[in-house]
Amino acid sequence: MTTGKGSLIFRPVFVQSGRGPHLLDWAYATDAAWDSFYSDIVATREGVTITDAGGREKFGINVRWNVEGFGYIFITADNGGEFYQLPSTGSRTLNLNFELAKSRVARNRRRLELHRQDGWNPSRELEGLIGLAEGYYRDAGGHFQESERCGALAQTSLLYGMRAGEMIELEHARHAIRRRGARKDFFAGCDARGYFQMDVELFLSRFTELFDYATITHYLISGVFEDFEPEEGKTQFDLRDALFRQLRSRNITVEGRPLWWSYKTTTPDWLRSKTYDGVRKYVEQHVRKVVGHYGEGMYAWEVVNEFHDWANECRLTPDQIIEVTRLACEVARDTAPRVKRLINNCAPFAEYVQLKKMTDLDATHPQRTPYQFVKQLAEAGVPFDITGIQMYFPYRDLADTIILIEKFRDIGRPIQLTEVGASAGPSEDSIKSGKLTISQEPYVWHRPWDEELQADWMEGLYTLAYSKPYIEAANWYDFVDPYSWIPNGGFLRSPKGEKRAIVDRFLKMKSEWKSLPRAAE
Amino acid sequence: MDRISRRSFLKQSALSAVALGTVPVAGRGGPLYVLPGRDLVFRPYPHPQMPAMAFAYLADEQEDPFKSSVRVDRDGIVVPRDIGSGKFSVNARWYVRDFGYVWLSADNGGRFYTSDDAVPDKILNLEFARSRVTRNASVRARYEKEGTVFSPEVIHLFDASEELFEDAAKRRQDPARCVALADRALAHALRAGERIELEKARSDIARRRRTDDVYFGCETRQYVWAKSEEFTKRFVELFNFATITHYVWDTWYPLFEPREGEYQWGIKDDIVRWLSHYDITIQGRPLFWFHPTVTPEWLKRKTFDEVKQYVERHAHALVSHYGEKIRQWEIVNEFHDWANIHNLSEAQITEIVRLACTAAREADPGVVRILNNCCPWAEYAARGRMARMDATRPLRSPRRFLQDLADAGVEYDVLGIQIYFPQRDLSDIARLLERLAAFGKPIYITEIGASSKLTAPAPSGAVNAPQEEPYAWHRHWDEELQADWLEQVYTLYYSKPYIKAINWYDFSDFRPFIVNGGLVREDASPKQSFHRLAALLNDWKMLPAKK
Repeated sequence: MTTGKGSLIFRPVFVQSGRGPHLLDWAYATDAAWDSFYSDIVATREGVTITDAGGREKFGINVRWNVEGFGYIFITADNGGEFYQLPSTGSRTLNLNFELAKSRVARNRRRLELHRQDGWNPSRELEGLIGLAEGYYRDAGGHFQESERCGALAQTSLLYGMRAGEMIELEHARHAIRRRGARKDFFAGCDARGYFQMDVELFLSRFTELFDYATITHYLISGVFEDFEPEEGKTQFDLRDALFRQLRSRNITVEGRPLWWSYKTTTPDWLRSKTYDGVRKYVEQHVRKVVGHYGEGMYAWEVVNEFHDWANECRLTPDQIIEVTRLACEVARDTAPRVKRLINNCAPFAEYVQLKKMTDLDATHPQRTPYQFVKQLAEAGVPFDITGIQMYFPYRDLADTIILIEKFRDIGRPIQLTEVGASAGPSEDSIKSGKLTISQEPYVWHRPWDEELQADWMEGLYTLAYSKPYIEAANWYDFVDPYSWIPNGGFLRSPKGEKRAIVDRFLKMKSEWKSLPRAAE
Repeated sequence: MDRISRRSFLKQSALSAVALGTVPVAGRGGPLYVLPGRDLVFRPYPHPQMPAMAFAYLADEQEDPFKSSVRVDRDGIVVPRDIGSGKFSVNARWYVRDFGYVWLSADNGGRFYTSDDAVPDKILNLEFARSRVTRNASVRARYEKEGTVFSPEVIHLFDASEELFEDAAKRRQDPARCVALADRALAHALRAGERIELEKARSDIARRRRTDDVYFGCETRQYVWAKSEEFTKRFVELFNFATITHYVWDTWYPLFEPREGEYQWGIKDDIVRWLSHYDITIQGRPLFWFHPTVTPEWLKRKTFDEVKQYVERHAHALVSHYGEKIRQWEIVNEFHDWANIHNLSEAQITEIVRLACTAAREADPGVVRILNNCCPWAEYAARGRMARMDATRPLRSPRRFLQDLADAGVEYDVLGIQIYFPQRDLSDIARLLERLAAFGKPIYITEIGASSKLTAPAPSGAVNAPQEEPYAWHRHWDEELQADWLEQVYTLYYSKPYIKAINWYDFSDFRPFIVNGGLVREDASPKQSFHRLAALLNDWKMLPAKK
């Protein structure tokens, strides 16, 4: 693939003092709408080079870069919001540190301006951070010809720019929450499969203390807890019925999930081998049966999960995926019209597009981002009600996180953060078992994960979510270790029920929300 | 003192304070409520993750702790009205979110408290913030006068802490708001305080390139266990100074003096040969360390007069044995009311120190005599505890001990101080150095160490810190953080011309004093701390010449 243009090289200046790595050995490009696309971008210690932008005139680059004092995290350089263009011939070299700082400083300015329109003003602490980022950015610009000096100053600017960026979003969110008041229309939930993993009474006691929303998982096979349909047609409802009744009797809103998830570990061979027509027949029967089983008792059903070119074990084409999703939504609507239909999506920054991967499978067609997928669904008239976004710690800061979520507003549906989670860091047990050992990489966000940091991230994400009226839920996944999808990512350290720091923080946060005057309907 | 759970403490103390906060206020910034004859109460509003506060202590105007009737109960830290007329500070270990779980001192902004304080009910969070903000202002002004120009970051942190503190101080009537502001002020102040020290140190190092002899050393006892030659090769890459340990009795190492007067020189002589080959200056240590764990029964049983005789013989034997190969000796270790198995009085200790110094000088007129001291903030004095023993008299801090020696005219050459990671920030370390520098002696930082990870099991079986405890400094220990701490304290020490030696204690992770405290792992592979120290020494042109 070639565009017949020159190359753009972003040269890193390694000013970090730690052992690294400081730059990940791959990167990806995004378009002007911040959707990733496949390009020939490569990242080495010598620089990040792109010579073919897949036909896009304007683009940004995304690198995982170690900002000591903040984290080894993905950051976008987009030329301060103006985006880059390939030179017509030859090569052009830019200072990576400077470009990252420029982009973050410029975006902070834009976000400040946007949020000020809500009557919010930054605190003096935040103004100080912004001033530092701006000041070092100016200094870096003044030493543009001295790449080392420029890189060092830009890196300091970037550090404060990153800190300021998160603080801008969080201060604004807290302002918005205070102004708007307590929400009746927000769910703080969690997946409920802990029910199968610990003493039932202890589970219910701990769970109901915390959450007002629960998802009940129906993986056909899972290998780690009760399979739902190990043989085609032999669905196992009993335990899930019991869980459903227990949760509903405690006034917890329940969502079922998923009706379709063709992921590598949850797709039985009898399903994997089906043709497209076979899939359609199965989907129709399965959806009717499962949705019908619970009737209108469910608040919502997650109709498809990770279908945007990620979990696609049946190797459907993009058009087939749209049609299967349409079919599933229509059957669900026909079966239980008042139950909302949710489209769940993972990998929200869609790095997989550059890697050309659908889980372990090689992609067989140009891939879509989750945003592009749900937009196509909406445009195709697929009847879904809720846009779901999984937001496990995304190797992005909180500012990137909420800005990405904001993109989904124009889909016109309420948003649920369907699965969120972050680790509490290694424990003696996880080190011994090898499930989660001590990382030899630089820490990814603020410091190596620990229980307090897990709580910090949760509080940040839930605060952002609660402040946005278009986000209706944020659901933690999972509840109890060592079974958590994110190793040591549970609220509880073990099935014995020991509470992590996140429990107190979650309760305190909810209590503060509850103490606010009621928001206007 | 009563030990109470964090949860109940939090609920009880915070709620009671909030309730009291509704009492009418006597003027803005004035006392919340004046109740003559009341005890002085410092009400803590701890972070939810902070372990229960079970201990707090008072220190005098010299920062020397003293045993007192201060207690921690459901109201907080309670200083009884009858504490006496002296001025004091209140000290406790305190978790500051985004900084660490460190010892802090509330000293009323440098003015200290008295038992007749006009405001008997105080918010501990606010008092901690007040003390740090005030200290930073005074230190910053002093350093600026000495020529340091601080970065925008320092100014930002400094300004933010001052402004937040001022806001907090205006909101004492609203404890929840006051505490939220004070906590942020304190976190900024602590970060500012450390940066102030580092920028001052780096500025001084750049301005005054040192040309004197500075020793960068390490302890060599692990040579006994070295599993490969890599250990010895790595060691000599960094150091121009080394200590050789002579504990009379030990459970981990070959006994040095299994029976009185019967010395096992073998391995020590081997180490001397190895170090001498690389022209590494050697310090012998210790001549005397009367710690319960290294004192054999035959020595424990001695009377004071017998101890004196032993001291003379032993000092002479060790110093004479090595002759010119070892010209520096740690005369006593931790004798300032910590390692005192014979429970000697202050006067008896002074007499022994004098005797040992004299005997060493007689054995070698050119010997450099070092007095080594531990526990530099002397929390033990407030607890009334010596090493594994209850005290039977008021205990002294190392500073008081050194003052007593100076007053008694005891002659020695070098003041030694151990500063393992002290659960204190760099600003506290800098203040400690200033207090010790007042004695006018060259200072050796005799033993330093910090862990590179506390949550991983050490192969040699060392015990880990509880995982639930908040991190002590910046984050939980990891190899990068150990390297950061090393870099920062070495920078601080090297910037002080009166500090002549800096010695990391555990070279390897094998059988370390500090869990995972080595610069190299058990297999002698270097950690980040090793590389960081090499880079620092290279910058300072202090790396030993290769041989």
